[in-house]
Amino acid sequence: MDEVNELLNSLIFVGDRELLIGEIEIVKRAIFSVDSSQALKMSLSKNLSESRARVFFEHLNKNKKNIYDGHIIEEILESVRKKASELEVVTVYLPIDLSKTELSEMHKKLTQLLDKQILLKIEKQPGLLGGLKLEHNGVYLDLSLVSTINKMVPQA
Amino acid sequence: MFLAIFVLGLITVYSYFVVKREFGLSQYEKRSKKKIDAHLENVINSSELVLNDSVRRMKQLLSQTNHFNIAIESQARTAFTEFKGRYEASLGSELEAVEKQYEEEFYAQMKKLKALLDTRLKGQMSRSDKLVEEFTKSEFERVKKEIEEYEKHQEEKSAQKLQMIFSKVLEDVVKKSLSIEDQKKLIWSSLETIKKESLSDKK
Repeated sequence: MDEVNELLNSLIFVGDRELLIGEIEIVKRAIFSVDSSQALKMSLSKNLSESRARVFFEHLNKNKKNIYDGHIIEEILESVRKKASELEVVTVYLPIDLSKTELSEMHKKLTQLLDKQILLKIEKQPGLLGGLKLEHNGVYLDLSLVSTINKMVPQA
Repeated sequence: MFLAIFVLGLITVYSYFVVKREFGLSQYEKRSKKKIDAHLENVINSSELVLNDSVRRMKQLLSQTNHFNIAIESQARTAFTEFKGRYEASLGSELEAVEKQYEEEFYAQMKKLKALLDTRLKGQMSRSDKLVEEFTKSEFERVKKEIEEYEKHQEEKSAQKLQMIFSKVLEDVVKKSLSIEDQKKLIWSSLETIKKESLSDKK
């Protein structure tokens, strides 16, 4: 199942998953209309971006023996889709924009922390003033500056 | 015969009146008259004596009667005075007894009345105390509640003001005080403080 994890590990944001599921649908349609690896490569390149086409091609090419067995490939892709769908989402509320690298680092950190593959959903909230707020499976963790200040100020 | 008797009778009556006219009062009548006169005189004298004696006795009796009357009157007065004294003394004693009885009765009634009034007063005082206590308690609770509400209201007001001040100035102050780098440091330091349990599904 390493081939499945490869694709999943590339997922960081919720949008990435939606993109992957969309790509899986495209690939599933493509594999039934090709009869060689070259044709598959061309079909993927035609439907996906170059990098994504390469990833999918490399991923599927590992199953050379059955590359033309659409049912097996579909099964693999469906497994990937299912796993991707089941990934838990951590919503991160941030007061400022962070770079993709920084968000990836955050994703890595949270993945290690929760000890499971997760997806990030980034929501910008300038009102937090600083720090961040997290939500995972209905559990909220408010580590924002405004929350800290509000705790010090008596509430109305 | 009858006629003879009748004529004889007439002759007798005629003879009587003739004799009487001729001879006046007989000696017998004169003596009798004299005796009668003497007797009458004696009678008159003795009657006068008797009368005088009777008058004297009457006078004496009258005098005695007066004396008796005076004595009776005196006795009666004395008796009346004594009776009056005794009656007054008795009346005074009875009056005193009655007064005493009335006084005792009065004090007894007063005592009863006092006891009744005391009981009522005590009951009233108890009720009053209870009412005062309830009133004080309710007033205390009400005032306490009002104070608490006022304090709460003041706290809320203060908090609202503070919040308003904070909401107005905080964002500007923080944004001006914190650079992007500071913000990022805050985000990473916050991330460092997260523990696995704090984000786990508590369900």
